[in-house]
Amino acid sequence: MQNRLKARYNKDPNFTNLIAGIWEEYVAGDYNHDYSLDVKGRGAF
Amino acid sequence: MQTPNKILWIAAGNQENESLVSLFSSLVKQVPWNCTNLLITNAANWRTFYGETYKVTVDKEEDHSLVARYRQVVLAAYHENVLEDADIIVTGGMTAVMLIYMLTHGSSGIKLRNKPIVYVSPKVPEKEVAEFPIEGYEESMFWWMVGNMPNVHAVVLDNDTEYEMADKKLFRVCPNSNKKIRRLVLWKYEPLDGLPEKADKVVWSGRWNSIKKPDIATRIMAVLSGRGIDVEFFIPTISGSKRRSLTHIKETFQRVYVGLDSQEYRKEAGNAKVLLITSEVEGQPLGYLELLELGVVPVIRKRPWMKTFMGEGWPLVYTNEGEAVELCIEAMRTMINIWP
Repeated sequence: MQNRLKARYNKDPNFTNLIAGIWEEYVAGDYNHDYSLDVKGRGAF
Repeated sequence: MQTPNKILWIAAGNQENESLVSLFSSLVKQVPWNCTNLLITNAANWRTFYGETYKVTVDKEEDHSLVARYRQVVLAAYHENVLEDADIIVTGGMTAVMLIYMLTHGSSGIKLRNKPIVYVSPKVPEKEVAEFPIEGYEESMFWWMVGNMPNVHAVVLDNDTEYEMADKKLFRVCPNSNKKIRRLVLWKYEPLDGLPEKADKVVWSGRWNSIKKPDIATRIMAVLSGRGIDVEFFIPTISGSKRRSLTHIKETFQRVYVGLDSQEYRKEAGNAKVLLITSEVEGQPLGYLELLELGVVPVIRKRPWMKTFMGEGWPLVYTNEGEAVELCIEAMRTMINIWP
């Protein structure tokens, strides 16, 4: 059983990198995106 | 590079212990910046969060649904100006993401500045576990946001079933999006120097709510107990109203532990031979993994999420209660062959 656990759970916790990556993307990114939902296109949801 | 000054964590739940608050309490320790972390919640276990907290009292009379609870919590955050003030928002609620969108880009005249919104899903809503009572439309809109908005990110716990489900939902709504679901790894296996001496007992662990299927557990444990096997229940915390429903469980079973801290839990439950798992859905359940690390062997109810939990081919999987009883007994007798 311990071998299974070792094989399955052998990755380091990654929240630090995950949140840092999202922030870096935000700082570097183009956030002048048109966020308005096209109400006429509701059927697309 | 510019770093964030404030991260806002939004977790709505019921009045008892909310697993999302426990998850956020563990994640906040991994934040790489020296910034303010503010939790806004109505859940009872908010004190476990390492950072600032703002406790919202949700009006019970109005509506019990999760959507309503998120609405009240997000609006409280808006009124306290923390939605605007935050540089990053982390939440476990699709409703929260959609409300923030409306407050940021809706035509209400309210204008919040753009910021990353990170949806961390302990469990991807599926049939009978959906956040939205009306299936379909609203949830599709959430995935549309993930697919189309650069600042909305979806994160699932590192479980293939959960990832595939989220990926499928995103693809169905936004087949052309290049946004990817992210995977969150919470736990790494580290072999311990020694393991506790084992007792002939079966334990069940979890919050007393319908997703954990305590009703199935009590029936299986009753049969095991009738066969002379020691059984124990471990419940992190429970609300006053549900505490009453435990009365007859406590009358039936001698050992029902409520509200142990992590160390006590590991000590009391970690010497069991078998962990009975009945959950409908889990991502990366730390409460179970803590026991597995201590050599407690899991006997698992067959559900999609468990495929990645122990990997393919784990022998102790049951589809009915009778089989669960037999497997628990078999696991106790033969665990020497299963472990290591």
